[in-house]
Amino acid sequence: MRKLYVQLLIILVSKLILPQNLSAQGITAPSSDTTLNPSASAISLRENTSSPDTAFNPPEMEVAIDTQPSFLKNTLDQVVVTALGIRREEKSLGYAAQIVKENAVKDAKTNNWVNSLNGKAPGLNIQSAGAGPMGSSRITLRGESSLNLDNNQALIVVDGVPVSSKISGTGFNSHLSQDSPVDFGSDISDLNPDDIERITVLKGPGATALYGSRAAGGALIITTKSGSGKGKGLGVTYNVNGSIDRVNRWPDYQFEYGEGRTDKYYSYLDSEDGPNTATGVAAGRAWGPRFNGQLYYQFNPGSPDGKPTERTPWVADKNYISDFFKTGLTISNSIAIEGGSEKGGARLSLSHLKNEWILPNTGFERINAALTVNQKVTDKLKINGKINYTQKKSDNLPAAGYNNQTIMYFLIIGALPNVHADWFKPYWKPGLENIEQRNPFNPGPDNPYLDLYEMLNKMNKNGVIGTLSASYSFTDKLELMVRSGLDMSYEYRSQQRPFSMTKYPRGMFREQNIFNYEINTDALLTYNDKFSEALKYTVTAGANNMRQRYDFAGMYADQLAQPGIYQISNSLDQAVADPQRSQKAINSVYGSAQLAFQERIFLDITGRNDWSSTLPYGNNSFFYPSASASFLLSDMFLLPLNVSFAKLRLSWAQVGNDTRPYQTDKYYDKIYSNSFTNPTVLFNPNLKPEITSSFEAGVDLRFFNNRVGIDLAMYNNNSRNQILALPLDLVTGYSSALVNAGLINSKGAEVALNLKPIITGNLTWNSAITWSRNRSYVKELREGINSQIIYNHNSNVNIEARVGGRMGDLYGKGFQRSPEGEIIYSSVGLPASLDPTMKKWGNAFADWKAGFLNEIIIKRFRVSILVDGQKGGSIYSQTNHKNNTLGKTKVTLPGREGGIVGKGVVYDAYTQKYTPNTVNVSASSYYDNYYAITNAETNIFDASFIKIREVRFEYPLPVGSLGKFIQQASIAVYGRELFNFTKFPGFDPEGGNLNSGTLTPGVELTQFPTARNMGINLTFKF
Amino acid sequence: MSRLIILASICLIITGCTKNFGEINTDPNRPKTITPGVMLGQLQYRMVNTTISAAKNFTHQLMQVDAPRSSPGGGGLHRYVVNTDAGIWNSMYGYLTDVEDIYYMADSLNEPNYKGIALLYKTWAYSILTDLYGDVPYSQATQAVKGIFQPGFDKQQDIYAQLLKNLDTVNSILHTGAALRYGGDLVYNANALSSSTNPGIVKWKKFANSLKLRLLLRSSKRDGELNISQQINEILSNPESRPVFTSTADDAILRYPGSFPYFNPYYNARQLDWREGSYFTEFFMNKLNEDEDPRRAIWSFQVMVDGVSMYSGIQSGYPTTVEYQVGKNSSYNDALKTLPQLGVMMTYAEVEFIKAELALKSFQTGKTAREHYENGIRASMTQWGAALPDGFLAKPGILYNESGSGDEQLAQIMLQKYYAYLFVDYQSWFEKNRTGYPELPRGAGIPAENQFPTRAMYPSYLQSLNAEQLKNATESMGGDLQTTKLWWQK
Repeated sequence: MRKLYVQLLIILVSKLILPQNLSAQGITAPSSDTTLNPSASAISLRENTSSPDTAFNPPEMEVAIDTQPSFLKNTLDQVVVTALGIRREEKSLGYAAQIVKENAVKDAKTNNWVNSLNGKAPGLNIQSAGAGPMGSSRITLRGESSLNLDNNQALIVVDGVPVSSKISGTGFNSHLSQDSPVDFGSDISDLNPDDIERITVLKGPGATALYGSRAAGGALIITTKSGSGKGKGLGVTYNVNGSIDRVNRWPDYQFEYGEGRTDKYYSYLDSEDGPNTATGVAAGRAWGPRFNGQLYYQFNPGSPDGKPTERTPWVADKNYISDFFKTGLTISNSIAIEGGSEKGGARLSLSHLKNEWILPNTGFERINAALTVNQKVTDKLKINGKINYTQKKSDNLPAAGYNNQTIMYFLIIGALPNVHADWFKPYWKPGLENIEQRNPFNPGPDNPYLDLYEMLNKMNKNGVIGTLSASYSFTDKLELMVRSGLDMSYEYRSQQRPFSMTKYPRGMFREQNIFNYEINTDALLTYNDKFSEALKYTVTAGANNMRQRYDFAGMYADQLAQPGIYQISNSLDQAVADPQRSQKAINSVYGSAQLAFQERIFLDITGRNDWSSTLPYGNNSFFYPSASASFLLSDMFLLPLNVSFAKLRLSWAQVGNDTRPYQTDKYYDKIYSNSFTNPTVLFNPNLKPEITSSFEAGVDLRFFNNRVGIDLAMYNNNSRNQILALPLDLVTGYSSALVNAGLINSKGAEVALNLKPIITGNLTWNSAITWSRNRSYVKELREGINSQIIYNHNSNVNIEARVGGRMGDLYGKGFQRSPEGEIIYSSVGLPASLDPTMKKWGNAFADWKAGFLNEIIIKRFRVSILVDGQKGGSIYSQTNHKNNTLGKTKVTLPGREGGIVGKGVVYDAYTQKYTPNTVNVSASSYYDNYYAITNAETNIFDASFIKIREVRFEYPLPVGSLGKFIQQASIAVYGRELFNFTKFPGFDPEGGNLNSGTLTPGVELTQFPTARNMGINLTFKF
Repeated sequence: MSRLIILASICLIITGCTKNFGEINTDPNRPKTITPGVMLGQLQYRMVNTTISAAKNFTHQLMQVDAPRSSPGGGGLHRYVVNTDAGIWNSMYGYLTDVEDIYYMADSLNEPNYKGIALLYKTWAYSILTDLYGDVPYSQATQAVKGIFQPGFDKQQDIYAQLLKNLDTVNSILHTGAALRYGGDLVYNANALSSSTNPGIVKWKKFANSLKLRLLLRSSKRDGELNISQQINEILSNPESRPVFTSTADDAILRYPGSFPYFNPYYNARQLDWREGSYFTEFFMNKLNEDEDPRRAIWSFQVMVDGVSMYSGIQSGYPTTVEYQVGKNSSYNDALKTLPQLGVMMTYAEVEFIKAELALKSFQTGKTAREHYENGIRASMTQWGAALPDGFLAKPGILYNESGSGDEQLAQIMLQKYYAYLFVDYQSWFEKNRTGYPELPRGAGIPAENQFPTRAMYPSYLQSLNAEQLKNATESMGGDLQTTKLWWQK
C-alpha cells in the first residue's frame, strides 16, 4: 500500500512540469472576487469569522455540496473547521472530512441530538443503548480500533473544547445484579441543537492527528453559532417544537393461550376446578389453556385478595403489553437574538425542553442558555468568548436491563395475555402502603407500577461548556492565538427503592454527587508566507495543557429504617460512603507545516508530542506524526468536459489512545466498609499508550457542473500496544492483567454519492446515497493467548476477540450435532445437553451500512426523506429468549395441542448409530429447552434492518401584511424512526445494553422499545 | 525574533510541568499497603459463604437432600447432569489471592499465627478444588505478578502430598502464646489472649489436624504412595502435639454476627427461592421421620398433607412432566436464613465419623466404632441446636449393628455422616464417590445414559484463557467428563 502511494506521488509531482491552461478545459476563469487571497485562504484562526447565516438560506444538503449552481472553484473554497479549531479550505485537505450542516440535527429534533446523525455520514456509527429518554449513544467512526469498547468512541469537540461523552454509571450491569443501570445522559447530549451551526466529521487519524493521544477514534468538531450582522430585522429567531412518541414495533406476541403451565384448565388460586394454576405456580408462563371464551375462575379485581367468586370468560387482552405504555410528549421553545457589525457581533440564545416519555412518570426537562461575543478590539487584536450553560433535571428516569425491578423485565415475566394492565394499579396491599407491595400474579418481578411510581431515579445537572480566546496579528503573516476552554458539570443523582421489593426488601436510598471538569489551554502561533507565487506555506507551532478532574461521592443507605422516607439519615445501618476521585493531566507541544503548490497540490505535515500523567513517570512521552497530501487533479490534468472537479487525497498518521489514571501501581480495594481485599486487575508499571497507524486514500469526483458527485474513501488502520485488561483465569491471582498487546487491523471503505437530478426554478431534487463497510480483524493478542473476552454475559454469550477473527465476534454454546449436522436429542425427546465448545454465531457489527437521503423542493415546499439500514451484524436477544421459554410469542404456538417430536437424532451408545428422534414432548418442555439462555445458537439473530429514519415536510409561511415584523416564518411536520423493517424478533436490532456506564453492542438485555417520533415545528424570524 | 523566543519559552514552561504527574497519578481513594487483619475477616466470610452456597445449590440436589419443584427442561443435578460452569473454580481462586497475600504479609511482618491461618485456608481451599475437579493449578497458581498467566495443572497426587505437608507446617508454626496483633479473626476470635494462652490458636491447630485426618482418609486407597496409614497413626497417637476436635466448641464454624456487614448470606433471600424453589426429598426426609430425628424441625418445617401436619418430601430425578404444587411440601426452615451457625467449614461430628471408620479399619482410635458413631450423632445434634431424645440411639434405624459385616457397618456410619454433612460444601458427594455410601435411589426420570458424576468439569472459559494447559491436564486425567475418575477414586 505504501509503495502505491509513493508511486502516485511521483507521477503527480512530475506532472507539475506541464503548464496548465485553464481555458483549455472549457472552464470559465473565476471572477476577481473569488481570487484566492492568501490571508483568507490560508489557515485562519480567527474564531470570530462569521459564517453565512444558514438558517434561512435555501436549505442545503447535509453534505458538502452547494445547491447553488456555481463555478467550480468557489465550491471548494468552502472552509472546514478541522482539528484544534484550525480552519482550512476543503480542497486542501488530504483526509476525509465531512461537513454536516445544522439542519441535520434540527430537521427532526430528538432528545439527544447525536442520534439525529444516524445515516447522514458514511462511517459514522451511532449505537444507542435503548435505555431511556436520555437516549445516550455510543459514537464511533469507521471501525473499532481498540479492544476496550470505551476507547473507540469519537472525540467530541465543541468550539475547540473537548467535551466528555462519558456516562457515569450506577455501578451495576444489565443482568440480575443488585440494582440496574440507568441512562443519565452525558455532557454531549446537553447541547441545544438550535445552537449548532455545523459539524465536521473527522473520520480517521489522518484528520485528528493534532489531537495526539485522544485521536484514535476520530472526532466530531462542533461549531456553535456566533453573532453576525447579516439579515434584516431585529435578528430574533423563535422556534417552537412539539412532538409525540409512540412505540414503533413490537415482538410477535401470541394471543391464543393464556397463563399457566398446563392447558387443561385454569384457576386463579385454589377453586372447585382444581388447585391454583396462576400466580407463583405459572410464574409468568403462558402455556395455559386456549382462549375460546370458556369460563374459568379468574382474578377478581373487586376483592382484596383477588379471589374469584364466579367464573368469567377466558379471553385474550390484545393490549396486555401496550397498555403499560403511553404516548410520550416533548415540547421545546427556543429563542435566539443576534446582531453585529464589521467590528464584532453577539448572539444570545435561550431554550427550554420538557419531555414526558413513553412510560408513565418518566421524562426530563432541560434549559439551555448560550452567549457568544466576538469583537475586533483593534485591527490586530480580536477577542472571542462563548459560553453554553445547561440545566437538566428529571424526577424519574427508568431503570434498564433484566432485573426484578425493571419494567421491561416485568413485561416479559409478569405480563400475561389474560391479565389486564390496570389489575396491577393498586400496587400497595391495603393498609400496608409503603410497606408491602401488592403482586396479584407472579411474585418474582416487582409490581410494574411500583417500578414506575416508587422506584425513582432522579437527577439534577448543571453544566457549562465555554471558551475564551484572544488572537493577535503581529503582521498579516504572523498571528498568535491563545484559548482556554472548559467543560464543567455538577450532577446530583438519587435512587430510591421502596420496601418489599425483591432485591431490597427494606428499601434503599442512594445519592451521588458528581463533579467533572476538563480544562484545555492552547497557545497557537501561525506564520504564513510564500516562497514564490506558486509555492505558499504556513507553519504552526503550539502547546496545550489539559487538566481533567472527576469527583464522585456516593452515599448509600442499602436498608431503610422507616418505609417511605428517602434520606440518607433514614439508613438502618451506617450509611456507606463510596468516594471516587481521579485526576489526569496531559501536556503537549505540536506543530504543523502546510505547503501549497499552485493551489493544486497541498502537502501537510503535523507532529504532536504528549506527556501524560497516566503513563509511568519515566516513560510518559510519545510522539504522533502525520502527513497528508491533496491533489486537485482537475487543475493538474486535462480532464473530460463533464468532469467538473477531481481531487485525490492521501494521508498517513500515527496517533495514540491514552488510558485511565491509576493503572501503574497496586492498590487494595475496600470491601464491606471496614476491610480490604486484593484488586482483581493486575497493574502494569510499564504501561505504554495504544498506537494506531492509519493509511487513507480518497477520491472526490464531481461531474456535470456538480450535478453528480462521488466521494470514495478507503482506509487501513493498524492499532498496536492495546491497553488490554487481558482476562485471566482467577487461578493466576487476578481476573485480568493490564498489558500492552495485540494488533488490530481495521479497514474499510466509504462511498458518498450526491446527485441533483432535477434543478429547475420550481422543482429541485437532491439525493445523497452513502455506503460504508468496515472490518476490524484481530491479528495478534499476546504470546500464548489466543482469545480475549471483551464482554461476558454470564458465559451465555461472549464478545470475544480471537486471533484471526473479527472485533465483535459473538461466541456461545450451541446444540450437539451429528456428523450429518442434525441436532442430537437425548432419550427423553429433548435436545441433549449443549456442546460445551464455544462457537462463533455472528458478529456484533454490521457487514455494511447505507443511507439514502432525498430532498425535494417544489416551489417553496420542501420534503426530505432519509432511509437507512444495515446488512449483517448479529445480536443476542435476552428479550426473545425469555419470551420464548415462557410461551409468549407466536414461535411457541406449534405443538401446543399435540406435543412436539423434535427434529433430530438420538445417539445409541451400543450400536454407535444415530436414529431419528421419535419421542413426543410437550410444547412447554420443548421450547423451554430449545431457547434456554445458555443456547447462544438459538438466541442470536441477524440484525439487518431498513428504517425509514426521518421524514420532514417544510413550508415557509406567507408573511403577508405582517412582513414588517416577521421576516420569515416556516412550519414543518416531521417524523423519526417511522418504520423499521427487520426480522429481529425483539424490539429493535439497533440496540445493545448498558453495562453501568459502558454501552455494549451485540447483546440485547431487555431493551426499551424504540419510539416513533412525530412532531411539528414552527419557526419565526423577526 | 524576540517574540519567537518568548513563545518558545512559553511552550517549554507548559511542558516542563510534568514533575507533579507522579502525585496526580496516585489514587486518593485506595491504599497501597495494608495489614493482614483488615483482610482476614472479609476473606473468612466470603469463603464460607461460597462453600455453604455450593452445598445448598449443588451438593444438596445431587445427593438427594433436596430436589427442585419442577424441572421441565430435562437436565438438572437430580438427573445427574452437571452444568459446565457449576463449580466454584472462579470464586475459590479469587480468594486464594488474598490468602497468599496474607501469608506474604505475615511473613514480612514476622507473624507466624497469621501465616499459619493463611496456610490452613490455602490448604482447605485447594483440598476442595482438587477433590472437585481433579488436577488443578497449584504450584503455578496466583502468580500473575511473576508473569505466569497460564499456569500448568498439578497432578492431584502431588497436590495431596503438598497439602498434607502444609498441614504439618501449620501445626508447627501456630504459636499458642501469642494473639493476632492486627485482629480480624471471625471464626475462633484468636485476636486476644486469655490468661497466657490463645484459645483461638489452639482451635486453629485442632482444625489443621482434623483437616489432615479428613484428607488422609479421603486418599486412603492410595496408601502406598503417600504413607497414609503412618500419618494417620501419628495423629491418633499424639493428641497433645497433634490435637483434633474434641467437642462441638471446637467446630470450625463462622458464626454469623447478624449485624452489618457480616450478615448470614441468606438473610434477605426471596420467599419464592427459599421455600418454593426446592423441597427436601423423600430419601432425606423419610428416614428422619422414621427416626423422629429432632434435627428435622431445625432444618425444615411441617406442611398439611390430607389434613395431617407432617414433614413431607418429594421425589428426586423425576420425569420432566412432573411438577410439584407450591406450598405442599417441606422446604428449608426460615430460621436457617438467620441462623448464626450456618457457616460450617468442618465439624467435630465429622471427626467422630472419621474415627468411626478408622476404628472399623482397625486403627487405634481409643474407642470403638460404635462409640464414635454415637458421639458423631450427638455432636451433630448439639451443633444444630437440637436435643438428643432419650432412647434415640437405641432406635432400630439408628442402633449401631456391631455384628454386621464391614460394609453394613460402613453404610450405617456413612448414612449418619451424610446427615451431619448438611451445608458442608461438597463433602458428602466426595465421600459417596469414595465409599459408595449412602446408596441413593435412581429416579424414574433420569435418562438411562446419565451416570452419577465423579467430578465437575473444568469451566468452559478455560478454553479461551488457558487452552494449552487445559489440554495437557485433560490428557493426563484421561478426559474432562463428569464421569472421569479422580486419583483417589481409582
